[in-house]
Amino acid sequence: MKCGATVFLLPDHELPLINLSAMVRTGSMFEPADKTGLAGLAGSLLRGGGTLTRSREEMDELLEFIGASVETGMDVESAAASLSCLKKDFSKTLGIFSDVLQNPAFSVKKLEIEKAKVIEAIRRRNDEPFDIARRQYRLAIYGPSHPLSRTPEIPEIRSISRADLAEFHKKYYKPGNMMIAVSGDFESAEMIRSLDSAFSGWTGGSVEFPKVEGVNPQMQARAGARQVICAEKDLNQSSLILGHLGIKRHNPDRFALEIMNEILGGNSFTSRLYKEIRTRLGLAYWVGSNFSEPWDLGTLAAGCQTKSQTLGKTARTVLAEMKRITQEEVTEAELKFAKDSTINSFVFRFATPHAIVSQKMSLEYFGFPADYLETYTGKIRRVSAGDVLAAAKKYLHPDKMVLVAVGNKKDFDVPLEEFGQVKTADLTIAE
Amino acid sequence: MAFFSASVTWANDPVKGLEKKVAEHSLKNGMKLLILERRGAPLVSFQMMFRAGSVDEESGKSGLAHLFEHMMFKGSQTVGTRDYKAEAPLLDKIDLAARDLMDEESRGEKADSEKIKTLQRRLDTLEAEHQKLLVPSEFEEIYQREGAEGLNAFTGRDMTGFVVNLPSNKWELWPLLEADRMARPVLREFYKERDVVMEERRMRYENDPDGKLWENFLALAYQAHPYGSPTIGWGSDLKRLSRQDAVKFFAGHYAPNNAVVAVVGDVSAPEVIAKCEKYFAGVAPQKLPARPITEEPAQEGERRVRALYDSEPQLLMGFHKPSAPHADNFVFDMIEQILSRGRTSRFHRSIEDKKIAISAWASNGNPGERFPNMIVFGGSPRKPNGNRELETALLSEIDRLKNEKVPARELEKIMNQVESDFIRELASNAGMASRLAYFQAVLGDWRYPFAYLAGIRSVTPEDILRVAQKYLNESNRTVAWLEKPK
Repeated sequence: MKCGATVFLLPDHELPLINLSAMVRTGSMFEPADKTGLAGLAGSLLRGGGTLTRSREEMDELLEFIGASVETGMDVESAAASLSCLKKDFSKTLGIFSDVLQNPAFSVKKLEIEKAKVIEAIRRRNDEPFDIARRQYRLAIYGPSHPLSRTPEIPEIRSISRADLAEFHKKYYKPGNMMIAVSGDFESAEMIRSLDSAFSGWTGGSVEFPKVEGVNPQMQARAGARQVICAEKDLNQSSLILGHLGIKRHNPDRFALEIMNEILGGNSFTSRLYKEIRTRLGLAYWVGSNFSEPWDLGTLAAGCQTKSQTLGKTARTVLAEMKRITQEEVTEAELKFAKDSTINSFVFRFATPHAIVSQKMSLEYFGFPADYLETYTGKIRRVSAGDVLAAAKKYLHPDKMVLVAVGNKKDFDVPLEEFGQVKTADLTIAE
Repeated sequence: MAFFSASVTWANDPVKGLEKKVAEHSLKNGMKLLILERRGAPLVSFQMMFRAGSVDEESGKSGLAHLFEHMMFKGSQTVGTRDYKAEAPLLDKIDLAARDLMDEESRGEKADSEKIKTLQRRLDTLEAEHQKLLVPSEFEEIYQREGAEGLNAFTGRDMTGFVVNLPSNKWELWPLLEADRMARPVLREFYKERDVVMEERRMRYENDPDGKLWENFLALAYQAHPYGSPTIGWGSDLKRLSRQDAVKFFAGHYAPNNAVVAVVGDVSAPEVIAKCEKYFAGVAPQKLPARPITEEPAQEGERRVRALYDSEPQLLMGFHKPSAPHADNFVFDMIEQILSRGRTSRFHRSIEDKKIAISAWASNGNPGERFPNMIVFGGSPRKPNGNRELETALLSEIDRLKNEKVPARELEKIMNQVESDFIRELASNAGMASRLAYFQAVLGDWRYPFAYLAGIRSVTPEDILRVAQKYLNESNRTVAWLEKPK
């Protein structure tokens, strides 16, 4: 585009609709650690706080009357903006979309409403047991101030001002720092003209990104023995997470790790953890494992929920399955199944035109090579049982994990000390 | 029928075109097929729905419909087993061992704990022996190996649905596997799966604030009709369910003549029909039970409960009303949207923006649609406001509906939104399949969503006044608060 943004287009004339997604290179990883929650507020108030020439109420009326939407939000590594409307309303909706990105007002009144909501959500963060487990797990892995673990606190949210939001916007929201993907009922040349005209006059591109805290090496060293975190809550079922640091994005071992995870607990019906913990032992309804690949080291973890009286038995079983996959090669049948199911379901990544075009944008945003999708199935196909074992040995260390248990400790079948040194989580919420 | 306002300019109405493209066919055994060919990605979505849900359970057997849905994934005489002939007698022995254990356990305080241990060991030994004859997860593996996505099932008060999406070159796997499990299911590992469902109950209801409140609310709102009984089942009923109960439930409900299948995607309708006739030929129709279901009498005064759970407060408030396709149901759908759809909605502006609550919503049509149901309002108050302040705020918006005519522009806005929603929903194969199957199974009319806009357009401001005054009254009200124990 003339303004410097990168655009991906995929016309599709089946339905009279247009969908647009945009990514702006920023994210909560770039907010100052003492203003945790700032990026999230900026993301929601970009749209929710009106623009310099349109109040939020005016925008809401206009968009909702035509059944269209313009939304904005914030992720850890990116900011999102989207538009969806009937074709006939595109120019009106695009006008609002581009106004929102360029001229947000961050109305103080709306900021106060949004802050009140965030504060109430903080007060409610101990309501759901698995949420507590997830938060305690990330805290144990990354420490309190890493972007992947830090959580907003009430006093910090109170201290965030309109000026903070405006500064965050000014720093990152520039056309050269943005990508746009559009699908739907349009002709490409005309779409480019519409976008150029909507964003004409908007300039800028270079952004100076602040240094972001990496995972603390001391936290990694501490993971030399198992740490156990217990969060007490009076429940008859406990939530369990077991895991540790994993890999960064673009690690070439990720294909072997993907297959390993699929066999261990990634597949929702056929994994070892599912067959053992759910089907054979009847210990949990939900059990699974996953691995994440952010810019910094991600994590490898398994989790489940089981009644208090079987928490220890379940944790032992998860650990035993993890250990087994680091010691023995997976069977040829398991390997073949994991590869076939991954390769044969690959086509679902292209289920809708918008999925195709927004995936293309997202891969480019995260720096994947241009042939990533074309070569993906080949890389999966070449993974051998030896590769899976090597990846498991290299990345999975059941003896050095963090174990988080949320529940009624006095009812557990096994003292948590069996798994490592126990620390009790502090769930207090500072007002 | 006027689906769209005159301002719409495209020549080919995508909605009407689509309705005409749905091929409707009943197999010889009574199974109903609805097929919508859609080119585009080489994918296809299947949705099979049985008109059998937790309302069809007998008293004391709550949770059976849902547990049965889990059992449908255990395979058949050919799938999931190394040797079905060797398995069959073992399954009977396991049933007997489980029955003895349940009998002893049900003696409660008088139960002999040593005897329970012995009986449990006997059951464990038999189950371990049975394990050797099984091929676990084989049913799921066959689908997934060929690239299936979104394999799942769900049970509601009214119906049970089974879903899967396949690459379209593998579509024939569907009639092959589904006819096999419909004709010859083997309910193996029943007692372990019952344990899994008890964990599901703990996860979704006993240790979850939303689930806990919802269960308390419905049990209070329905005193006679089975909508008050949780689909997941009461704990004590679950503990007593046996494989024989499940076999009985299957025979009366999982008949082809009680099923609807919607197929949406890159397939050929005549081919799907021909293959389904072939694969399902061996699945015989059955006589369906004509069991009368207890009617909910008119409510005779407000009902309230304060459920205790260690979480911040929230509340639910519901009113009994007729369900679709009753004309008043369209009015309630409109009320739901006026009150809680989007940032311009009345709840958003007068409750959320005024910091009384972080959420306030309306939802019509709970907890099912085969029988008279409820419109439910709910939300989570924001400190220093509590449930009392939120309830007052919700009621004041409800009172406005009874006293002031809704402006025409507000109705026009909702109509436009419903219209654009509908077009968006057409984009998803799975979404389309789910609507076709659901409305056919529950209302007996797959065309309902196509006629929906006309129904919504017929709602007038006077209708809203009348309906609000008639139903949204204190004597017809059930309120449930969730609060922290003191």
